[in-house]
Amino acid sequence: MSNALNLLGAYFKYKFKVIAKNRVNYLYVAPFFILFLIFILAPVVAAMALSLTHYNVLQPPTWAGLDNYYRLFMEDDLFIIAIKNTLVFAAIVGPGGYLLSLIFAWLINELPPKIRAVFTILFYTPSIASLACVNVFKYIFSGDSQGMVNAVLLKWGLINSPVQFFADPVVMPYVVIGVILWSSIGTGFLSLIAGLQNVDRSQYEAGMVDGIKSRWQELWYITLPNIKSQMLFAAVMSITSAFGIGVQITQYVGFPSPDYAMHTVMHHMEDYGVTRFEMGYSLAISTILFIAMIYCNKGVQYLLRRVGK
Amino acid sequence: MLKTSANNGKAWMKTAIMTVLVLSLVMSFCFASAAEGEQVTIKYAEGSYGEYLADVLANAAPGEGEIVLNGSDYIPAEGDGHTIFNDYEGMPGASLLTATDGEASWKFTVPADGWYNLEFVYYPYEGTGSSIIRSISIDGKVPYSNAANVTFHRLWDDEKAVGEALDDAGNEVRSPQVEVPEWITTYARDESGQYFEPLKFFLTAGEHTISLDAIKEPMLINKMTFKVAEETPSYEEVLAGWKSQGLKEIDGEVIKIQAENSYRKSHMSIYPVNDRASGITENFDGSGYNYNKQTLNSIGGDKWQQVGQWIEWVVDVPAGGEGLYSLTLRAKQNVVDGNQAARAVYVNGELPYAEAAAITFNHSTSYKLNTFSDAEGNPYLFHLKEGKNVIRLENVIGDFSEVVTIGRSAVTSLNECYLQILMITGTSPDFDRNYHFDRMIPGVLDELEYQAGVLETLADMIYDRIGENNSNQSSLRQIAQRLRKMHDRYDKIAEMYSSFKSDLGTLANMVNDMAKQPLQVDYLLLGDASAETMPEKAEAGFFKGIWHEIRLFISSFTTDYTNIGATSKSEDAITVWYAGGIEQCKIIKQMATDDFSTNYNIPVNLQYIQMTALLPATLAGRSPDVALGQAAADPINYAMRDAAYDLSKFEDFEEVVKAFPESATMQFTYEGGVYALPETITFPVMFYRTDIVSKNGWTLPKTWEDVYALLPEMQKSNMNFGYPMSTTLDATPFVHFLYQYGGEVYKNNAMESDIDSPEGINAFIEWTDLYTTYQFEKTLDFNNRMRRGEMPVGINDYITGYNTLTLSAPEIKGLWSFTTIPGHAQEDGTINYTAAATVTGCILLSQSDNKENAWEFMKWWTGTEAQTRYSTEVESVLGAGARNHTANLEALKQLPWTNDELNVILDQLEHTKGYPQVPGGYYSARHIYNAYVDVVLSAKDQRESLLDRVAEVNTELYNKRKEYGLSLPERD
Repeated sequence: MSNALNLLGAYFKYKFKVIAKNRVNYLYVAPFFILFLIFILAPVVAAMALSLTHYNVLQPPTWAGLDNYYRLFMEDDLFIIAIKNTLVFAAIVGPGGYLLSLIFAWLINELPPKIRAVFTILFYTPSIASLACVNVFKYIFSGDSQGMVNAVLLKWGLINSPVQFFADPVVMPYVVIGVILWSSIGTGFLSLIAGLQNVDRSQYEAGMVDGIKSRWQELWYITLPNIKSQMLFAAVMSITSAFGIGVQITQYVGFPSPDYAMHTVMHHMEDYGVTRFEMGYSLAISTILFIAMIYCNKGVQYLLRRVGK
Repeated sequence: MLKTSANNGKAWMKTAIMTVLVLSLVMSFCFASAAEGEQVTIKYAEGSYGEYLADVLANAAPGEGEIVLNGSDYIPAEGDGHTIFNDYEGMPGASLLTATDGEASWKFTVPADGWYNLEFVYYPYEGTGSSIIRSISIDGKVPYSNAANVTFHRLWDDEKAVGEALDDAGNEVRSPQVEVPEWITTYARDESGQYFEPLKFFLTAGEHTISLDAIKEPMLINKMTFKVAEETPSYEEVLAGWKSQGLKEIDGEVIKIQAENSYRKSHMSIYPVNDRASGITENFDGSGYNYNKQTLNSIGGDKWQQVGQWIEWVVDVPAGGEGLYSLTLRAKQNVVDGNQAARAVYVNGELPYAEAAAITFNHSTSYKLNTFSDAEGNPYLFHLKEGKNVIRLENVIGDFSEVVTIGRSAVTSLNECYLQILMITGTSPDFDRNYHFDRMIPGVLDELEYQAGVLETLADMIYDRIGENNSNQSSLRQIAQRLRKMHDRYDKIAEMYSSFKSDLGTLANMVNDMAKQPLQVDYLLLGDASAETMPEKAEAGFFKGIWHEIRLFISSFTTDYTNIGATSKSEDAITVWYAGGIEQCKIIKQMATDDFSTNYNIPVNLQYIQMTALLPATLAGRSPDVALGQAAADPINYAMRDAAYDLSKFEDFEEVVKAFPESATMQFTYEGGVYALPETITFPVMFYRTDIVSKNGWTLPKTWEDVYALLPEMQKSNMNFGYPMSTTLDATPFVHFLYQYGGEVYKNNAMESDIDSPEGINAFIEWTDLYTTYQFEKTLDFNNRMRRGEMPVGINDYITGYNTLTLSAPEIKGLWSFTTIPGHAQEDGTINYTAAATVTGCILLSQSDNKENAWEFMKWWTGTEAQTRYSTEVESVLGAGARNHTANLEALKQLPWTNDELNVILDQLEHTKGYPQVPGGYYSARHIYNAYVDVVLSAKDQRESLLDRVAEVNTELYNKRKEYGLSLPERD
């Protein structure tokens, strides 16, 4: 026993020695590490810890063990709906938004610099001005018989009464997904454009000499491998944002959405955290979401490693 | 004598025939179209003063002599509420105080036919602070619509002069306004300002009765005199007169008056304001711009734009300074583009000459030095005597009055055309269908053509007046072109319909803007216009202007925007959080400082903070003492978690809550405690378009049965009934029905939902039937639909409806009204028109160390006096459309509602019930809406959907109660 302790002591002594030796390097990472600790690690750990309690925000938390998780998976029917919605959403908006970013970035890259700058701004605007877009779309898809789409459909005789685009549980998902897909071209798109700009031109010439037959081959074997890191960044951005979508949906259909038709995990969290003040439960949901996101990112990284092979 | 009366008879016949002719013309829409370039004949609205002038007064002679009616000689009636005062405030003899509602009549005899002006000697007796309005009728009939709201102003002054009213951080703040009443002699004038001259009344020889019907406010009348107003002489005559008296033009001297140092004002909403735009705007003491503190360095702007409003200044003329002075203003009209602002100048209560009736200021984004002068640039002069002189500038429409008159009548006519087309085509016309407008409504087509000519003439008239082209003129011409196209290609009207709709809105706004006369004034200069001491430039130079902007930007870093005023470190101080508008917040701060803190000796730190911060702050133990403006559900949420303090523990609580309606306080009740004091309450009323309802001969529905009977009528004319939408957060549209059926939202001490009761199910069925059977709109913008006449009757929240329509629908001003909502007939024959009310309130946080002081503050703030003052000040700062919906009953009665409006509001308020807030209560609204979605959008069975959802609500209620250890219902 004492032997083992001695061994452990020796091990730490050795480690400290190494750290002391390289203290300058540690000093270099210290600013980031401290900030990371305070603003990222500590909240995550605290959230995970609080997810094991009953906590109503205003009164001190009480220990609950795995109660919240048990309830979440065994009793909460709504959580299943939320997971279903989130997955559908993430599956469409995540890769969809990502592919759109990639395609547009690639297309725009072919344009002369000045026009390219204009288009870049045009495509990036929706994600900056999303609040303004909400109102535009709300106006276009208004459930009022004088809403733009409804007025046209009514005029053509395709419908008899106005479609409640943002209230009818059947129609709502399509409209909301479509609208959000449009505004999901965001930061990832910018990084892709930047990446495309930095591809070494001489590689294309070399490729031509080496027998590249089509633009498609050029894209797959030269362009994409060159912008791999930007692609990874864009992918992480779009996947995480797809999982985290909630606010945008609320802007269109309100919270909670009619008949929970657009109830995502984020909404479920908000419902428990803000409406019901059940913070422990809400944090349990967020922990699950956190783990799901990590695994998704792992999966994406695995897929991206195959690009150009 | 005989001869005269015979003549009279003929004149009457003539006018009668004329009137009938004109009326029939209006009715049948037969108008001769005006050819290009021809002068348009103005077509006046039916019963307007314009029509009266053109018909009744066209050939009438001015009356002779004076007919004096003493106030006290009125015809008394049982319980009329009028009082006689003797020798009141220096006015010898008896005067009559006419009450805030009801009529007062006088009998009088007219010696000979003729028209008269009507002069009043009145005293603005203390009321609620808004202007006095009386409807004048002669022999039981209001002679023309403009006589139905004759307005009499009150006299206002700043309680503290500029520079004396400071907040505790040293910023100059708006002083409270006080009335400085005195006896006023004035003619009855046109409130809309289209006619500058006093109103004329045609009276035949013989006995008549005049009645004053109170629309608003009490009014103390000493006497009324029918007489012909003296004509104002021309400048030439007056000047010649002065010259002959030996009065001389002032040479080399200039008297400067800072405009913010005003003497009296007609409205309390006119007050000194801060002007940041110009770096050389001078403070009240003549000093330059202050970058550290806010100063009130000018007066007017958009606060001084309604016709009839005026400001007075005192000019102290030094000894030996009597003479003729020119008038120069450093002022700007930067509010309404493409329009002028006009002012009439009164010196010592008199309009000196006709030319002074309209000095004009063109639109400009920067200040101008404007010397009032004739076409050649010679300044007009005013006679000022030694000592105190009073200069009054009154808002008038000036040159534009004809334009506005014609514009208004064009809007009325086109609105009528619009409605006629609407009744044929509906709101979304079929482009491919030929509606045969030429056969259905030929009159409307002719009218469109005619109005096209009118609009073009209007554009020319505007050009003549301001001497340049602007956007107003081009849009007038464009609209005219489109109208003409509608006339020529009537088969295409359906396609042009939507642009017609927006043109109407544009036109109405334009005409409305033309009547506005905003003017911001920095200072007035009186004296020699060519003196050396006259400022050379009205604005700072280019670089100086940039430097001003930079300094403003820098000073924005050092200003504390969260704390309104300075913070008190005293132990007694309480912290209050407010999250509404910044203007409101400033008003509360000022009231707290000069009223609450002074009287109770408790300092208040008012902080302007987003309410989402309240929860984290409470969690961190840094909560304020009091939080204002909490939505109905919040107090209970805090109460459940012991974060809000139970107010019913205070001894005088029972006394305090008497000020509020039951339906307000009950929403803050939780397990026997009350956790907030109500600040505002709102509930639905039924709005309707008076013009459309009367034209179609509809009777306003009293019950829902009546609504269903009226619906086919309305829908036949492509109109619909408006009913508010419900959301997952708001179930009140359903709850109105529930309450009318006698149902309740919860039962069993709020442990279970009661909407599955027979009453609840019936209510739900009727509510969803509105959408499935009766084709109500599921999503709607009611105010806009109402404005365009597509929903002439509908239910809407009283305060939002009133404020929105007042502010943004000027073209239908006076054409809408509201009444109580339809109800359900009871077995005993009465009608139950209960509605659910929504409230906000203020809470006392449990963490507060100063609960007693905080309670004092809450009592003061929700009390009658503070609420009245707050509501009045908010309205005077933010203007029309900012009426406050206070929950304090006495304060509500003090607001400037007309008598009819107030009666409806109080009646409906009496028939409101609160929407109870309980733990887990958010699930009720959510699932009522989900059940609605099931039925209306997914066509499921009504009863079944509701019952399914009620089960979910009950589960949530149970869980929540369990979580907080409350008593639980029996469960199987």
